[in-house]
Amino acid sequence: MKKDGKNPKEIKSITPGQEENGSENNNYQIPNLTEVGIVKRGTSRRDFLKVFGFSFASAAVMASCKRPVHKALPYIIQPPEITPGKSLYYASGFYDGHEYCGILVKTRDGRPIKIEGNNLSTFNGEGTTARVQASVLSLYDDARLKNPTIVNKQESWDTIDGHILTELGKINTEGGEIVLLTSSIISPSTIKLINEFGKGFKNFRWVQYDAISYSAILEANSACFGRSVIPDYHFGNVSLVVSLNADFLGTWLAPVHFIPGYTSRRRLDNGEKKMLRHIHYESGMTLTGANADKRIKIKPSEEKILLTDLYNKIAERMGIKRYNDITYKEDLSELADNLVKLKGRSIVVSGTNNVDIQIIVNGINSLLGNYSECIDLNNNLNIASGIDSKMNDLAGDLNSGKVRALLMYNVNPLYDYPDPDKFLAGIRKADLTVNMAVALNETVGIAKYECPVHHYLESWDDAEIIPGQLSLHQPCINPIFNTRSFQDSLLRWSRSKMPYYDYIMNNWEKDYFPLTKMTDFRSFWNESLGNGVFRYNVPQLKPPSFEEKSLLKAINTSAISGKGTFEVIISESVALGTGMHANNPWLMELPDPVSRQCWENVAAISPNDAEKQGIRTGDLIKLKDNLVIPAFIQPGQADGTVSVALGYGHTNAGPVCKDIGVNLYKFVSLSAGNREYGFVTEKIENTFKQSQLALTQVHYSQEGRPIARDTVLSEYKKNPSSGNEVHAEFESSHKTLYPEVKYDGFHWGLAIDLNVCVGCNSCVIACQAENNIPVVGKEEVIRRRIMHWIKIDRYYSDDLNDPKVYFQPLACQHCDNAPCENVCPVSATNHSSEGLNQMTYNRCLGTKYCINNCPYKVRRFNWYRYTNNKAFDFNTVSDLGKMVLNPDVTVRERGVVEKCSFCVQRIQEKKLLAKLENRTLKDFEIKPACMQACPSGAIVFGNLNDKNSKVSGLFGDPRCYHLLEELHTLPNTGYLTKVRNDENSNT
Amino acid sequence: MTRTFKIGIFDDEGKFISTIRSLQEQKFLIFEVFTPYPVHEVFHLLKRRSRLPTAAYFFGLFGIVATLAFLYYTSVIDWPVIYGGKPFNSFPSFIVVTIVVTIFTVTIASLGLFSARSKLFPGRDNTIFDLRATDDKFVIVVDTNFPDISTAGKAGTIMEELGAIEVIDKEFDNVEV
Amino acid sequence: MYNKKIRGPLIEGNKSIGQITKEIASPMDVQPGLWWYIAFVISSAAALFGGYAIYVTVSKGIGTWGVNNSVGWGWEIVNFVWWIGIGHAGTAFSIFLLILRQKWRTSINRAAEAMTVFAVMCAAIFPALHMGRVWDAFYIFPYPNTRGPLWVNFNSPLFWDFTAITAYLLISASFWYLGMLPDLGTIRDRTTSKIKKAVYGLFSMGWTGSSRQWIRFESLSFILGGIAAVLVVSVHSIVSTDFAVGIEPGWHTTIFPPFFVVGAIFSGFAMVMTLMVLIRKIYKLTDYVTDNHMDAIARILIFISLIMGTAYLTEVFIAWYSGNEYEMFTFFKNRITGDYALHFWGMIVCNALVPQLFWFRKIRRNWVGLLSISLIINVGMWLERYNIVVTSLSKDFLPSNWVSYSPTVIDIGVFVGTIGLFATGVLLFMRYIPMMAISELKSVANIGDKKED
Repeated sequence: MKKDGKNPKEIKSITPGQEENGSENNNYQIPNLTEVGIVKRGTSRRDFLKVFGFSFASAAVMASCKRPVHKALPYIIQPPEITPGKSLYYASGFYDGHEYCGILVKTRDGRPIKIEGNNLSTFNGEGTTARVQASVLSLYDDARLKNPTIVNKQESWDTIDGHILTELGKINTEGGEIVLLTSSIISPSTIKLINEFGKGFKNFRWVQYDAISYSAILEANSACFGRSVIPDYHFGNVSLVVSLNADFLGTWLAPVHFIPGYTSRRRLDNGEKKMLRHIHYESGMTLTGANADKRIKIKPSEEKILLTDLYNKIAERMGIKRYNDITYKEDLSELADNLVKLKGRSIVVSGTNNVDIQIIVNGINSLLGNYSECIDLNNNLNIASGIDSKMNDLAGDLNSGKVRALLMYNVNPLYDYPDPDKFLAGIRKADLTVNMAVALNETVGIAKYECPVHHYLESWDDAEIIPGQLSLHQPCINPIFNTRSFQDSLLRWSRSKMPYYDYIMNNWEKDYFPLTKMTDFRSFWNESLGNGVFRYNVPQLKPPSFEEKSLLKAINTSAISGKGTFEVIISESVALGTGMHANNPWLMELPDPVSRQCWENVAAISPNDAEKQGIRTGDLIKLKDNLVIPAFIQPGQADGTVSVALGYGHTNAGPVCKDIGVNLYKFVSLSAGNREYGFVTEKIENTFKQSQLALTQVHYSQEGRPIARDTVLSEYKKNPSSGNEVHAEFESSHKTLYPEVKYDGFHWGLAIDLNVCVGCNSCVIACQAENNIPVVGKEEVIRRRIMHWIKIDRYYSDDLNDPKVYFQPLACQHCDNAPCENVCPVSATNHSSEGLNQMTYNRCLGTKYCINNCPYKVRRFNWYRYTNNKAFDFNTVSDLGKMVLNPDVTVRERGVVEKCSFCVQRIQEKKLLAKLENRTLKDFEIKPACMQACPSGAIVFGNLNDKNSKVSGLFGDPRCYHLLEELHTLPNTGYLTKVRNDENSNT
Repeated sequence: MTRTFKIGIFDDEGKFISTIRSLQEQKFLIFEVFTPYPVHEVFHLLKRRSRLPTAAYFFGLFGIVATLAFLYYTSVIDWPVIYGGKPFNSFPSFIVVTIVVTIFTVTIASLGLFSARSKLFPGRDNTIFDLRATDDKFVIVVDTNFPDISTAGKAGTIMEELGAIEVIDKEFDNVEV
Repeated sequence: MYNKKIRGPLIEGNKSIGQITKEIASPMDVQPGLWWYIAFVISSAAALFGGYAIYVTVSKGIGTWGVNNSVGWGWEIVNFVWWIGIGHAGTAFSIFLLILRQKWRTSINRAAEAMTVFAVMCAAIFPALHMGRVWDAFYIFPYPNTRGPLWVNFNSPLFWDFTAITAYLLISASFWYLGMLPDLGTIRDRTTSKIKKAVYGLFSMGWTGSSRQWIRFESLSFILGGIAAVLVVSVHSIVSTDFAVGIEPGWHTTIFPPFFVVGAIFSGFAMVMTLMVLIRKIYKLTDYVTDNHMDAIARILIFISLIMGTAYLTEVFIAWYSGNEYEMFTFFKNRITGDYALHFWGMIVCNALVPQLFWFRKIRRNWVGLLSISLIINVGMWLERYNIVVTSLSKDFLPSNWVSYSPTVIDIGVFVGTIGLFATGVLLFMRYIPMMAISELKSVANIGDKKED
């Protein structure tokens, strides 16, 4: 379970307190610094400056080919664990109240520059999502809150604590209610702390609130099984997935956790002949729908009918009594047969936040006995704990003046609560209002006290994402601003002097240390800290019995109202999620995997409706009063439905996302018991105004060219190279004038398995972070000048109403006969002796001839100066933003061409390491950023000369082909055909 | 030392030519003739030849060899680089450069030689025997010191007889042609 | 008498040699008319606009142009090829006709060569400007350097191109200047003003018209003529390799070298015609540039236009015949039909159809006809280059990379600027340099039949 270059041992060696010489007096123990940071600011400032100054220097120097003179502050005392120029990896965890991921943080000279998956974390393995990758940039966001304030006036922490303590005391003595409103908390220590904090008051309430609610699942499960939990879905054990509007590969619950399991049942490179079959019912085209073997369009209003019918059909086959005779417009018998056939090996999920629907889903699953292996209620997901009704009550109580004190942490109700005005009015009524946020957002500035909290990379924390699967989060940089962690604030306000770091340690000592065989807590602590994760066994109760009554009730309540011609679905966007990170330019410019469009949200409408209404992509359409939004014709969109993404339309959350797109939270309806993510509207009005969309791909069809090749399972079993027949033909027709160049030693190659790639875009941001790729902004994207080195092309088959979807990651193919190399007049791009197509920035003249002559068009040109240029004020202008730059990669000057380098800096690093250790490189030792970030392991890099390497194996696979191989460019990148499962039986 | 010349000026090409002939028969030394445009007969009569073409040929030879040698040295010996899977010495793609550079060499070299031999370069002012020569007159210049000064007059009369519109005696110290 | 049946005298109006000198040299003696100053102001204003566009490009970046990730070359390369094409006329004109011993060239080649020089200068602006880092342009010289020494990539058509253009500019300039020597001498000898004498004296390099000078002069002209002929053919062939060596559909084709050379001569002759029509109108030089001259050029244009038409058909046919889906798409879905059909058909009409009007003697002898058709041809040639450069790039192999291209104000500005520069150059040429090779004219003054008085 060693991880290249950062196996637990190595990590331990750099984690604080590891050194034998008494960790107590070790200045560089981050805990102590943090503590100092709270007690005596001055010291920490200085320490911070040491790190900061040096980082500035390196960032600034890297930030230009012309190397301007910059001052560097040298360390006064060299910290033992920091070697300038050497990366340190800290095991930690990412949790923003919505998404969890076990991570390793790569730091250089004291500043985190890259997030990587922690393969010791069983939750996500080495995979990450785009948002996790991008989170490191939020650390250096200038829109972060920098100082605590009282009524927007800066104050010292002590003063603020003083005020708050007295006010709390006063309210408490008067018996007024004190409410703590937080995002979902999964940290056991924090939960404990909150409870202790609450005990200090007569009348205390803790409300957890999720911007995107999974309340219905929680309530359904408590109704059906008496447990208010979100189960874990083991897609790895599943043979048949039936999903209704659940985008579990893109946004639903924990994609980074589901993707590995899902894809493990779809990869065929290991001689496997069976595949998971995935049937998907949905309205809008989502990432998951795009990956489904069979995708069927439904309207949201039809979902309940469908499920009821399906339940009845299954019940029939199981000889159980059926409920009322609602029948769905299409015959579901075949589906029911298959589900019954695959009893206990299937999953039925629904993404709709409606208790009745979720109960029926539970009913179906328990009928099919899926609660044993496929759906796990014991090891549930602690993703979202918010119950909608509680939040609604709170809003009411605030307005009725029942609540006297409101403490908010990591929530932004004024942006994402469906009725922000009501909530605002409520806040104004409370006597004491405290807001604890990381960065500027709509709710900031309303509360009397602003107590900014650390970014997660600056703070201590722990998390229990699944019972028994703990992770320990450590700070990787001293607090950049005058902030304080939420937990520390709570500790202060419960009159405790103890720093949260000690609190966690004590907690672990009390709760988890006993569960291990270890004798010394210190070493247990350090090991868990080094690994970042700790597992213990929780008692496995047998699957609880299903509560029939709930089902009866659920089925008999009338179906969701489907009045109105158009049903609008409000969905989470893959790039921005809840919109919490909207001010992150990387995410803003990350195109949606399906629509390939970025920098705003659009209303996806079906081609038929568009034709009927005479709407073209880009037309501003009116869905509802004060909801005008550009239309986007989305192939595969169900007729009569419109999908719009959440997360945009911020008014006060930083410069990047200001007034970009429309905020859809306002239109989430509270009518039903749960927040309903959608509404119905009578008509779509075309305002006949046009707006240009930032599309990164404008042509959908492959024009019948063998680009993204695919086949179906039945064919594949007959002939493994089916769908890829042309490969052999092209291979045989290759002739060459010159003898082919021999690459002895290494010959690097990269294989991408299109059957495993789900198109989640994690690699895109990973690449952007690793290679200092600039953000160019909406205007430039519209002018087709996006800089991403790797992009994920999306193609549709020709039936636009029911298209098959193809995803194809596309980066430099590193051709051995590279057309680009021949034409560069100044030999700025040429071939390395290891088969890399390399780009010499400081030799490049920028004739753009190579761009033209690259048949894959993967070369990028620096059209403007993107660094230190106010016109592109994203993250390479301010000194703060530049701290994220990777010192191993040059920041390109204006006018030079750049492109994927197979992360040559990583190749060199590992080669040197191997040389130092006097050994040969191991397979998988070198991992380009894209490969590393990929949650499904679709990308494999390695040495083609080594016949035993994984990549050589994949290149030998009958499914393997090279893009545009007929041109005889001899790419070192190979693709493996996509195989769709067309067989119900074979799974 | 100063030299005196007898200069005959004609406005008709035919008369001009015949005069040259008869002067040569009379063994007069025709120092030089000036015409507004090249008159080929004159070249024959005065035995004017140019070896420029021969020189140009060798310039060309040199150009080809030198260029190819340079290309081979730079791309095979000095700093070999792999471009698009080509061998270091990818001769076919050297041909183009060779042709152009050769042409270039020949042109520049011949121009240089021309300006050196015919003493034409900026600032140079050759002796102008009669301004009208570049306009519309044909000019014959006879060196009066040969065969000897006494016969000079005869040359003048011959020219007049054969239709010179005008015959002048001019003295020049240091003549440059 | 025999000449008469075929065509009239090369120079009409029974000129004496002196007259020729006087008439050709007169513009250099008198002040130009008001029209000259107006034209000069307009053209230099255009040139200044171009200067501004260039300033923006260099100071802000190529981003100010319309090009993008897929279409790396746009107007700038279109214009480059266009100008280079025009720049072919002069040298082609004098050289081919020189080699073919076509005496009638004499009254035209000077202007044609001048045009070459200005056109190539305009053309040279674009390759320099389209570099992302023009300040590092010197990297392209293969000189011993401290970076290895790192040499350039001799496989790159762009480098071939660079060599060819440089050589072509220098050689055509020197050829032009050489031809001018005797006339500069003439001016020097006939002018009265001291300054002019000094200036022309300096530039005429001491030309006297002695037999020694004449013989070397002639043999040199033939040497230069001979090799420059090779150059003329090779330069545009090399320009064509920028595309022909490329891999893009619609670029990667063997027809390009001859196709480009012919096209170049086509646009060049058209431009010569445009200029000559104007010059002879303005300066009343109809005796020197006779209707026969224009007629001859017009006939050549018909011929070339037929070649062009054939070439276009061949391209399309081969695209179909090759069965290569990418080629097929480019030609049939993106040129003949599709977004760029307008450009394609515009090209066909302007280059292959309209010039056929020259079959009518009336049009060949009517200056308005000549002028308008010659202009139309140049528009057509520009469209042809646009077709080649932009359409291939905009929709090539991977549909995911397909984009459309449109120029920006800056793109247009640079183009307008070069036109201004060209016009300015021509105007100065008219003003200060004999527009025709006086000495050569004299040598042909008596050829053909003199009009009976």
